[in-house]
Amino acid sequence: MRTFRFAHTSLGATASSRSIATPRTIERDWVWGDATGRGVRVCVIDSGIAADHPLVGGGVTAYVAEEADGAWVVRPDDAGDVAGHGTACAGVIRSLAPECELVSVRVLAGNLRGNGDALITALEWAVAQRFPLINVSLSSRKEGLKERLHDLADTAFFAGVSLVSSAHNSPVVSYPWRFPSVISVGSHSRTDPEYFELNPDPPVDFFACGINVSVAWPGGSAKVVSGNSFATPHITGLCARVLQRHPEFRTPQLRHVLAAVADNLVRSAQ
Amino acid sequence: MTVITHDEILRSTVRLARLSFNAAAASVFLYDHERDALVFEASSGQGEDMLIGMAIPSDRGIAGWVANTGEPLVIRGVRDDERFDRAFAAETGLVPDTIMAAPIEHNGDVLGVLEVLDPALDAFGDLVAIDLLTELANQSCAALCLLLADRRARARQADATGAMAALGSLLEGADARREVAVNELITALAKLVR
Repeated sequence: MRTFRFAHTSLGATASSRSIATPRTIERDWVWGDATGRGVRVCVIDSGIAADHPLVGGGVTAYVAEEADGAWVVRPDDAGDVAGHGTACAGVIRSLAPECELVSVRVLAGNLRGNGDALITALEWAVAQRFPLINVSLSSRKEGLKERLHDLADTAFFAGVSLVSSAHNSPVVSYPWRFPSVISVGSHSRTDPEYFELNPDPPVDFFACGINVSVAWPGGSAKVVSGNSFATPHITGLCARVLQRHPEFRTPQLRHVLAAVADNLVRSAQ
Repeated sequence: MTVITHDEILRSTVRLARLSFNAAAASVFLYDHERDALVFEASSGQGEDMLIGMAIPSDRGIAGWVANTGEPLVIRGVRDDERFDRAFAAETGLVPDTIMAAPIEHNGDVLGVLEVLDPALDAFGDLVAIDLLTELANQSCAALCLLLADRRARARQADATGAMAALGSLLEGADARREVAVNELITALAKLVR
């Protein structure tokens, strides 16, 4: 296995089972078993989703966060995916949780200067809608947004809305992934979509499949892509499975059970 | 000292990016606030300079995604994409299969996007390559920011009037031989304002 030595990516470290608060081993069969994410509402804040792509499989409700008459609003959208990224993420989520419900909120809406407002507006809306899972495969380095994103992440945490967000690909500080109320994801270099690692060295929580990932792309095609953006929906998809089995779970429980069944956990006597 | 220009920095950036990855081409888009568009500013390699000045919407495609999110990425299989801009390819004579893109970013504000077309990634691995391209973009951004700051300082000096400006311009010209005199002046000024 190749080891990538830079920030926000797996270094191949193991984690000890002593860090898991349980008297006995937790198995994936109990965590998600044969769950398919059925009935779990997942919001994808991204570039939009090409719902008719075979790897997405339809059943997507689409919205856009945009400026209208001087105010930022979320409203229905029919533009599809304007960059391809959101379709890729949606396809990964559906590959692991094929029966989850997908709702897209497009945050690429024609104004680079307003992209921070679009992200805030989309997150506020998604938290107010009480989606149990929100996939945010993007982040912002703008310090001016930090406090609002932090408040939103905390609001989501207490409301039972779990944010699953990408760590920045580069060794820089960005948000919202870095907040403890957010499940944050970086990449490892393995190809198994269900293989994921618990990071013993936070702030990144988990590493999932993010290098040379085959993904859906608008136009019905597939692409091979790399980046933490694509690791994140793997964890979101697994969380959707967990929530089908355990609908009362919130961010702390999701983080705990994922940690308990991580592939790099070294089991030792308590 | 010879004044380095904006174009020289960009040309050096794209050339360095192309050579670093043994790529077919590299190009840089800068964000134009007035047009809310990404403008093709410099290129190295196949199709070099044929598209300079072309603008693309800031919310479209791979460059648009990178500009909006500040997240670098690698994407393969672009050649098979029906949506790939054939006019762009026809102009440059290059239909790339792989695109790697990184933001040119300063304090959270994306100034543009650096793209490398058909990079030889096997020698690096994708994420190391992303890391390297991001650092190249950061270095270019730092040079651009220094250039802009220098231009602003020169403009201030050119426009300055009054006693403070006269003092600033006198001190600007003081060399190391005047250090003792400058120290005496600072001591006198400190006594004056305390």
